[in-house]
Amino acid sequence: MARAAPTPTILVVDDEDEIRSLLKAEFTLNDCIVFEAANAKEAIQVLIERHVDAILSDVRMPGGDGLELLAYIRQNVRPLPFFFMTGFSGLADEAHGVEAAFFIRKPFRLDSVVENVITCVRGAELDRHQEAP
Amino acid sequence: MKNRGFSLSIAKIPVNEAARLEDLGRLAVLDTPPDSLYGDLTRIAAKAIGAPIAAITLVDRKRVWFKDVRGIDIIEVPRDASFCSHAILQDDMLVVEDMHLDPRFHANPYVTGAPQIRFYAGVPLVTARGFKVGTFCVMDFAARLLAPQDAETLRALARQVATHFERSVVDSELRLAASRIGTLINESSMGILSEDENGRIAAVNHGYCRIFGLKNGPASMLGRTGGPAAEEFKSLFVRPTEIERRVAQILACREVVVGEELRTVDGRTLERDYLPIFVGTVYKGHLWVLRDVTEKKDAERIIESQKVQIAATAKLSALGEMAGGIAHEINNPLAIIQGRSQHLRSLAKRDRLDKEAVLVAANAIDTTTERLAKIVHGLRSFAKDGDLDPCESLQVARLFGDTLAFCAERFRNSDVRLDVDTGPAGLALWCRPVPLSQVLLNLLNNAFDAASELTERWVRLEVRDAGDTVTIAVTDSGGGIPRAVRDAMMRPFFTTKGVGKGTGLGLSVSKGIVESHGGSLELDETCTHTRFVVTLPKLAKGAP
Repeated sequence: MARAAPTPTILVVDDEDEIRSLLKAEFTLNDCIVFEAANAKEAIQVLIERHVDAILSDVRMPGGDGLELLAYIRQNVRPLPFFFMTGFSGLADEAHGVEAAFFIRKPFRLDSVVENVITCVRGAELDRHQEAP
Repeated sequence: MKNRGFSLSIAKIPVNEAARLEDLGRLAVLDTPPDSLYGDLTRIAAKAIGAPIAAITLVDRKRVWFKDVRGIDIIEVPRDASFCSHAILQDDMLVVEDMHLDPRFHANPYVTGAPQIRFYAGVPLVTARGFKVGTFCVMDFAARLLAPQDAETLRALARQVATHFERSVVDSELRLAASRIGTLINESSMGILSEDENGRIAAVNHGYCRIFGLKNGPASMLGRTGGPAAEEFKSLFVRPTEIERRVAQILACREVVVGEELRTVDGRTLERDYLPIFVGTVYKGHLWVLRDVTEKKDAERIIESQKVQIAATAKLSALGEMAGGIAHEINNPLAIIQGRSQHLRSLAKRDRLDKEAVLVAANAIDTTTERLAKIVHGLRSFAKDGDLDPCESLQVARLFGDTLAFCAERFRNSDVRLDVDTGPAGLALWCRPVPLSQVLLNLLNNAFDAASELTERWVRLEVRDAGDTVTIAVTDSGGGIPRAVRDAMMRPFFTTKGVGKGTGLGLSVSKGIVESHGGSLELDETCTHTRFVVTLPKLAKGAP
């Protein structure tokens, strides 16, 4: 019998209010809890205070960009599904050498973004439970 | 006659001997062939004074050389044995009435031996510079007196000789100068025509004949009248009556005219100079100088068109540098619009599409669409070729707004602080908005590139009303520009940016654009940060 899936907690990091509120609306509609941050510093603050299951982050932002945030998480937080969102066409240039992260290109299909993130969170949950003694 | 045992008396060396010899050299008369002019003078002297011997002598370092002599067959004697070496020590003439009675000469070999001279009278030849280089002298085989009027004759003849010496120096200098000028005129590729004060052709060169296709050559033209004004020339030029009028005007003014352009009917471009010749204040004719500058003009036209191409290249490359930023600018709003519509769909699927949700989405889509429209407008005005646009009055605040619409995002995303001071409200410029916006964007891009590599990252854009002009300054947090770069940075294709990052055209093209507005683009060397200042006149040429 499958256990009731816990509510995924998503951190949305983008300097653009509209992007954040849009993602928040759609994730909330899909029964997720959403935290918002406008840059890496704010995001780190959220990570210190809250449990987060996945992160969606813009790459370039004033006040600390997405790469800094990813580096912080790699060092200080348990492995988390990390999704970069970017409007730049040259993804490879921007996040050169970044592995173990997903890329979402703006503009995106909102429903598939949400679906992918939730699937990923559930997959990560499953992994953790299987690894547990 | 035997030497009586007296020693030879040697004349003293003049105190100014070195300079005297140099002046003798200047005359260039030593060892020259006989000249009938001097022959006439010695003949006159011998006849007038009634002396059998007359000579024009020059006292050289070791010898006395006779420029002309009659009555004896000597053309040169050792200086130590000469009478003239004594004579040049005198201010006036040396007269020895009887050599046998003079302690200086009675033992002289030319007295004791052939030709047994008894009488000598010599007047120093004094050059224009005051040196006594030789003598005009008469001699006799018998002792005698020199009558006062004969002494005067001798002095007059000596002055004549000295004058002729100087004149021949001037003549040879003139000949040299004339042949130099002749070479210049003959060999010059320029067309040169010299006319005298009566309009007669005094000199003309092959270059002139070549330019005008005159097959008979220069010789056929000498002495004729009517050079550039002549009937046959009129058919050579585009707008001949205009040229004729101009020639008449130039001739009436008698003032230097340089570099006037003429177009020939066969498509060449000539440059014409008019150079009046004055001797003192007296007009003595003039020179017409013509250059075929067709090739030079063609080259200039090519360079001009290349400049336009370079400017276009620079603009495209600046646009390329912006492309990343622009993609971001466009994709973000697109994500919002698309996302909003998809969110509405999600709500509809769940039957949760209420009025408020629709309004939120519609508002977001509206404002985001407006934002996109603004970006596209800015992009279009940047990409279009505004170089030929007419000038218009442009509010500085609008210029800044249009330009910043593109690059503000880029600054924000890279954490480079951008401070903007739009100056006094209503400050306006007379300019072509598009190129000027390109200049501003270029300076901001450079400032961004410099600042984004530093830990302290800011760029300041400010404008100041400086009376007749407006200065726009772009300062970045960098610490100025190294001297070596400073000298080269305004040159096309100079860049310090990495391969593929910059074309090296931005500054040089920007400078060109600013200068075409009658303004200047300079590095402020007094600023401790890197600061470029654009100075533009408020009212450029052509403003109403």
